[in-house]
Amino acid sequence: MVNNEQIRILFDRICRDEEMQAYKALYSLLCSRLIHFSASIVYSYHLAEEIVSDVFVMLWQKRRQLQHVRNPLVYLYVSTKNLSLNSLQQQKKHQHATLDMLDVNALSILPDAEHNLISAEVSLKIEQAICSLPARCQLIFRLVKLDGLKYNEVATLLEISSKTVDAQLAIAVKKITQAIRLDLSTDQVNAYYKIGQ
Amino acid sequence: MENERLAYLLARKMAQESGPEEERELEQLLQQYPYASYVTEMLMQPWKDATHAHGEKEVSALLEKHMARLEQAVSVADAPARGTIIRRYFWRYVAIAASIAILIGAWFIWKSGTTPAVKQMEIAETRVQKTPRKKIVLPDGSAVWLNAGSKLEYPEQFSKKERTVKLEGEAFFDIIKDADRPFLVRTAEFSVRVLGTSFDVRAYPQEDTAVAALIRGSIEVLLKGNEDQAIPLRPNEKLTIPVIRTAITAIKGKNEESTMPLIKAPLTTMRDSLVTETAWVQNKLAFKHMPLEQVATLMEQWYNADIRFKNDSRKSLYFSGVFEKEDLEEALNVLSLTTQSFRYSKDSSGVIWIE
Repeated sequence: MVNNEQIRILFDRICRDEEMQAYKALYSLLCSRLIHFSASIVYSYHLAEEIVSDVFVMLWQKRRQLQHVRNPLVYLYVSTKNLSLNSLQQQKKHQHATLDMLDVNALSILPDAEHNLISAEVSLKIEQAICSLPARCQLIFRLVKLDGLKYNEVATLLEISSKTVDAQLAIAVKKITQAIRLDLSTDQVNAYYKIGQ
Repeated sequence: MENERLAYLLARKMAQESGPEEERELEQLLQQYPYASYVTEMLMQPWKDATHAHGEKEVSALLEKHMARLEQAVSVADAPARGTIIRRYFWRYVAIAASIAILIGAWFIWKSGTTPAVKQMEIAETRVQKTPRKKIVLPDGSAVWLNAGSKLEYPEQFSKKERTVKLEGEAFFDIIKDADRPFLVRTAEFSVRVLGTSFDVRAYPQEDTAVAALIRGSIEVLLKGNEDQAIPLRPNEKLTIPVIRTAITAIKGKNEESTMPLIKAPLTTMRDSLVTETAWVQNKLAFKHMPLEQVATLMEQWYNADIRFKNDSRKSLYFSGVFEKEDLEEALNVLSLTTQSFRYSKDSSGVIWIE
């Protein structure tokens, strides 16, 4: 999970002290999630890598003007979104690019098997449950769960209300809950529950 | 109905958005629905990408690629792509350039007849305010590490004959060899002339000595007002130059620079061949058999603190040490507690008093 405070400190060190080390650290910390986000819009990891690279080139070139950015994390996500949509617009020439057609393949996430005791079966069920969600809902779930964005940050990024974020997340969680409940027999659940205690 | 509420509360908990009341409500619901504990557990644990995950290796490969792109973008921005334009309009440019050259030439001839031609140069100035030490790459590719509270002035572009920078404070130089263009560091009290080498210059305005220390290569130190006489330094030697404040000279009304001795001494090495004079470049504060008064000055710069003495007797206690990660408090504790030779306290305005 990204630590917002850590990002703010790195961002400050880049803009105030022009520290290259901090810049590299910030890129390493965020490149993967920004690339996935961009790839879901432009349908290409290769292009997404270039877009995120451009976002960070801009960050370095404009570092002095960016000292007063209130939320660096949201700034980087919004920049990535804008450059991705621009790129999409150029490809399609005349169509108006929006966030409506997302590549869900770039968005799908799973519980990290290394950290918990779920079977391959349950893991598959969860994946299916998430895949059955609308793309926008998957994006919101990913941004909160994997990227560590707060509700209001997601709301700013996607230009929706915090309430919508709340509702969309509840839908995602409900789907996952149902998938797991159907998969577990009562005995298994009780056994787990006792171990868990 | 409860399921809706449960999903809503679980989602908020996962996002770390739930308040204490919601937490309590969720606890109660979880007792009613045992399976939900399992879901909670799973939602609270770390997740990963299902496809195209970037491991550590991939991330460092991405970083490398990105840095290459950045370098390209920055150099392109510095030197706008002229290649194609020049080729396209080559002859027109030649014609314009020729006439401009003639004009400039004429201007110089006229100007040199009246006053000496002063070349206008863009000066870049870099200051390091507080504790962060900073690396600067000069236009010729040489590297400079600036210590806390220091200022370096250098041109955007060095001239063809020499490379001159002006320093206030302390800096470590790693100079790229260029036999045709000697490198000159000017400070208030002396200059250092080099061809290609690495060395440290310490000339803070508030200190009463200035030091040049050489790690490798060779340098010459040129004292102010006596620049014909160069003092050569060999690797691992340093030269300490007493600073005579202009105020004192003015009172005495004489030039007494020669009466104070210059001290040439070997550099101080500590364990692991760490040289105390340049340890700060590696983010280490090192000192060997140094009076507390000087240690305090080093720590003031290092930690951006204000350290004062309540009585003079403590100033001449001697200490050796290397600090790397310690904060000011820890460093002071180590010095005062291990030796029991002094105590310190902090007053309301943040000044540290040694007694």
